[in-house]
Amino acid sequence: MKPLPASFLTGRPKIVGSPRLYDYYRSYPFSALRKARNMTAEGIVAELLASGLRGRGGASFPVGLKWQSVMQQAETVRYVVANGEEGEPGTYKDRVLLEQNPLAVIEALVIAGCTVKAERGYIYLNQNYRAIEKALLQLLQWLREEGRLRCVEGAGAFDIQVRRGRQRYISGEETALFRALEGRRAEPTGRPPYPTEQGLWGKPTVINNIETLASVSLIIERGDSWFAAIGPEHNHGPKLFSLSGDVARPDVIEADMSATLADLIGWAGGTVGTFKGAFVSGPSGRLFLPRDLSLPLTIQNGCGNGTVIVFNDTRCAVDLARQVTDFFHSEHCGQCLPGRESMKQAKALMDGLENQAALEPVLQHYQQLHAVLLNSSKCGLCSSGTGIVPALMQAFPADFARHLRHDCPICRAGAEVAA
Amino acid sequence: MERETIITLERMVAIHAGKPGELLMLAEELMDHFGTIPEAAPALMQQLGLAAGEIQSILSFYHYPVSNTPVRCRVEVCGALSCHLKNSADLLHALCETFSAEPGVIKADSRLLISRSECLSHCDHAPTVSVNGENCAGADLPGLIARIREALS
Ligand SMILES: Cc1cc2nc3c(=O)[nH]c(=O)nc-3n(C[C@H](O)[C@H](O)[C@H](O)COP(=O)(O)O)c2cc1C
Ligand code: SF4
Repeated sequence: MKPLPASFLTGRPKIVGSPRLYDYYRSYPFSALRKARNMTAEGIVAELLASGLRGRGGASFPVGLKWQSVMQQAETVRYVVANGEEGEPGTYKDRVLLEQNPLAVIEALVIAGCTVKAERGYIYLNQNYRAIEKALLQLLQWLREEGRLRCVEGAGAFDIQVRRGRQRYISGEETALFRALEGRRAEPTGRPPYPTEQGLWGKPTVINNIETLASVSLIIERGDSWFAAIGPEHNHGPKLFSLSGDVARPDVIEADMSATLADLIGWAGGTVGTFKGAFVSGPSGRLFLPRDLSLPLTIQNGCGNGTVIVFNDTRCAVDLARQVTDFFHSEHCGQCLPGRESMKQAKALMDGLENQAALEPVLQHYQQLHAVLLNSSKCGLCSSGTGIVPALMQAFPADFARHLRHDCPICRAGAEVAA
Repeated sequence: MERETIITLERMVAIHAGKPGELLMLAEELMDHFGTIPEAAPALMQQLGLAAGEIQSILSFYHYPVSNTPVRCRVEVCGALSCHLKNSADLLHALCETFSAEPGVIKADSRLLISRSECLSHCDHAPTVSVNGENCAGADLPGLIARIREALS
């Protein structure tokens, strides 16, 4: 097994919930912020562009371009937002990062605020991150008292607020998140206009994932060349992977994007049992099979937000497909007609699987739903949620055939235990 | 509802009066304090500058439980994929059986609510259970039962 690469974003002791929070605050060097004080906004953006950093929330958009776009807007009231909703099943890397190094995120948000001349920043947290919320509020209080929530001494007022949202996966979608911050229903809005043009309260907004922001701090501190030298071409910098499911030691693993699925599973103690498959980038991502174990988890190969849920050969693919369908069915917002109707049909297909004579028409119907959603839905939730189930049908037809014959010992055993 | 509860509720709502954007903050504060959204709250929330229909629609979108039965102990068993692979459905069943509870229904006598939840984002400790907002590793069933008993006592 390859040695685990060095950690830059993680690998520290957990500071949230520990009595050492003040010591952590006092000893934190704020190196990125100090450096940013001597840089122009254009210089900061140039450094981000040269680093090759792409967003770590799933869509992999170049960070420098996003910040530049906000800087170019005529509107002068602007916001910066850290997306810590993390509602995708199997995703917990941002939690671990915030528990270990919350100041790296605050530091980057201050830099973002100064760069795009925002008047306020927000950190939006998953409902369950109470301890993180408490620590962030305390850290921000100390920073405020010492006048350190700004890039340039004496610069205009900039403040950061923390909001813990109500658990809804859709709230992590950027435009839905703005609505949640505004105190409204977290329903996505169509694009254009993009958040960089009209985001929070209709104003130009930078929204970045927690890990993305921590990476910004690293780039400003260590330089774009240092960052760009890590990882394969077009996949620069360290990346966090959340491993869970049938692995011996579920954990967040920091590696560069040349790491293969086999490497990551190895670092997480190996598969428990025999590897059957993995959901990479979570249930909204891509299905990896045994033949894909040697693929590096690059952006092009679909690493997305870095979530890896491993399952072994004792699992029934139909059970997994039902889990995924139920999740997206219950979490979609129902706002747009294609999303609402497709989710209803996807659920009916999976619920009624045992009444079907053959798998092929079910597969075709599910694929059609996915295609319709890709072209017409308002946001990415319903389309990404209907991608993996057809892949499961194609990869494991025998599992589905057992259900068509009403003869799945795995699911029957599960049902008997529950009863 | 007791008079004291109404006074507390009025005080909590008044802090956000005239600030429609703070409805969700207020709702979370009420959840922390009462364990539910008291039935009198939506009418009072109009002080924030929102219409009754808007308030109802926002509360229902986020699945806030509006009820006068205060919850003393809220147990959420994560049912998302990573926890499902660690038999969270069996765990939910075992907890409901131990406490003679029905999933998603507040037990009027003990004020206990056990329900399935979506991802609690603690997949490294799957199956994850949250007891009054604190995450516990569900693998230790006796420890979990003791923790719930303590919260109820
Ligand atoms: C349904 C859905 C849920 C999402 N959830 C999250 C999330 O929890 N965290 C996150 O950073 N991005 C999430 N995203 C992506 C955001 O919309 C957005 O692209 C991201 O926050 C931008 O930050 P980045 O460029 O740094 O990745 C989600 C997208 C969709 C469609
Ligand atoms: S695609 Fe789905 S989640 Fe997105 S707006 Fe439409 S119904 Fe809502």
